[in-house]
Amino acid sequence: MTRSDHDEFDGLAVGWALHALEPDEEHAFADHLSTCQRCKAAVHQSEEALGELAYDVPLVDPPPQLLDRIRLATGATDMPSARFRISSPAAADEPEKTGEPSRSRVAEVTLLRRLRRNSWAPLTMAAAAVLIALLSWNVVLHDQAGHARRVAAQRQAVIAKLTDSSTKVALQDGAGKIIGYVLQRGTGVDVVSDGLAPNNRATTTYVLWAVQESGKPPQAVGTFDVVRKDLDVRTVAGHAPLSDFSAFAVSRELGRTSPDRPSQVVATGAVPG
Amino acid sequence: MTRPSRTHDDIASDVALVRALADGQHAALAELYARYGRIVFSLARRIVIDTGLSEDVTQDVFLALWKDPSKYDPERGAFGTWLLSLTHHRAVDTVRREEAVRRRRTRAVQHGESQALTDAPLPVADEAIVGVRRDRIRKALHTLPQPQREALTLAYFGGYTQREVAAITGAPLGTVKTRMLAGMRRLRGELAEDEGTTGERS
Repeated sequence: MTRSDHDEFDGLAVGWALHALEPDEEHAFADHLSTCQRCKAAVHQSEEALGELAYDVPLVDPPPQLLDRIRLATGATDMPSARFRISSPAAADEPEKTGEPSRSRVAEVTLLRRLRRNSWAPLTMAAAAVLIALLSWNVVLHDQAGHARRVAAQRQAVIAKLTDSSTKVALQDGAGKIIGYVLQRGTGVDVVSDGLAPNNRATTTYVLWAVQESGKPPQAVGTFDVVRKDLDVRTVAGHAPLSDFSAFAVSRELGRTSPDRPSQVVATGAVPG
Repeated sequence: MTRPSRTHDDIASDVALVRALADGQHAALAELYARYGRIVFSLARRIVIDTGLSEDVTQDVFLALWKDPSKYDPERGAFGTWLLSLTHHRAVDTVRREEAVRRRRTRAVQHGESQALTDAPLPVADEAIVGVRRDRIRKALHTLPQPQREALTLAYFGGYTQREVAAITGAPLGTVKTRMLAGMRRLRGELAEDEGTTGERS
C-alpha cells in the first residue's frame, strides 16, 4: 500500500467512523479495513474524537420508564447464562428453596435499591408497579407447578400497567385475538406488541395505519419493527391523536418504508367511542 | 448525572461491568445504564430529534450490549467511546429509515421551525453547527475552519452522508471528503493537545 493510496483510505476511515459513507464505499472499505491495521487505527482514533463530540449535546434525562422498557426487553431475550428466569425452566434450580436468596433475586434487589437511590431517575408509580410486577414475575417462576398460569397472569398485569393510564386501542388479529395495543403518547403513539411475529429488519417493516372514517383510505402513521414475539413496546414516529381516527390497522410490508396502501393487514382495532 | 469520568479506575470498572453482563448480572446493566443512559439518550435525541425514537435507539443500544457484551473489546479503547459509537450508528440508521423523521428534519431546517411535530428544541443541523455546549470539545471545534466544522457536524449530528453534505453545502464531494479528513485530523490534534495540558487520560 503506497502513501497516496492511504491518503484516500484515511479519508474513508473518517467517513466510516462518521457512518457517512455511501453504501458502495462502505462495502468496499469494509473489505480493506478487515486487513489493514493502519486503517483500523485511523478509524479508532476518529471514533475517540467523535466520542468527545458526543458530549457536545444538551443533556436530557431519559424518561424514567425507559429503564423498565429495557428490562422488559432483556427479560425475554435468550441469554447464554443466568438472566431473567422468565423463559428458563432452570430457574427452579436456584438455591432459594434452601432459604438462601437466588443469585438473580439478589441482582434484582440490588437493582431495585439502586433505582431507589437514583435521584435522576425517580420511578413513577406506574413504572414502579411495572418493575414490581416484573420482579414478582421472576420470583413466581421458582414455583414450577403454577408456572404457565402465573406467567400468563403476570403478563396480563404488566400489560395492564403499561396501558392503564393511556388512551388505547386494542389490536386484534384475524381470529379476534388481541396481539397488541396502540397507546396515545403525547401527539404520537406507541405500539405494544404481544404476539406479532418478529420481522426481518433489513427487508421488511410493520406499518401502523389510521382510518379517519369508514370508506376513506387509511393513512400511514409510521413504521416500526418487532424484534421479538413476546411483549414489547415500540414508538411510531408519526403524529396520530387517537381521537382523530375511528380505527387503526397494522400491516406487514416488504421494504423499509410505508407503501401507499397496506398490502398485508395483520391486525386491526377500532378506537373506543 | 454528570459526564462519566475517564480515570483508570472508572475505565477498569466499566470493563468489569461489561464482563459481569456476560455472567448474567442484571445489576451490571443497570449500573452501566446509570452511567451512560443519559448521554446515550441525549446523543440519540440530538440525531433523531424525536423523543420516542430516541428511546427506541437507547433501548436497542443497551439491548445489544446485553445480548452480546463481547462485541466490546477493551483492547480497542474505552467503553464509553465504543458505546457512543454504537449509539451514533443506531441513531443515524434510524434517521435514514424513518422517512417521516427525515421529512420533519428537512422542513425544520428549511423553515426554522422550532416545534416540527416533535419536542426537539431546535433544528438539529443548525444546532449542530452553532450550538457548541461543551468547553473542551467547543475549544477544539473552534480551532477548525468553519467549512471543516460544518462538514463534520452535519455528518455526525445530522446523520448525513458525505454526498448529502456536499448537496447541502454546495461544495464538491471531493472537497467535502477533504474537509472531513482535515477537520478530523485537526480535531484529534487539538483534543490530544488539550489532554496533554490537563493531564487527562484519553
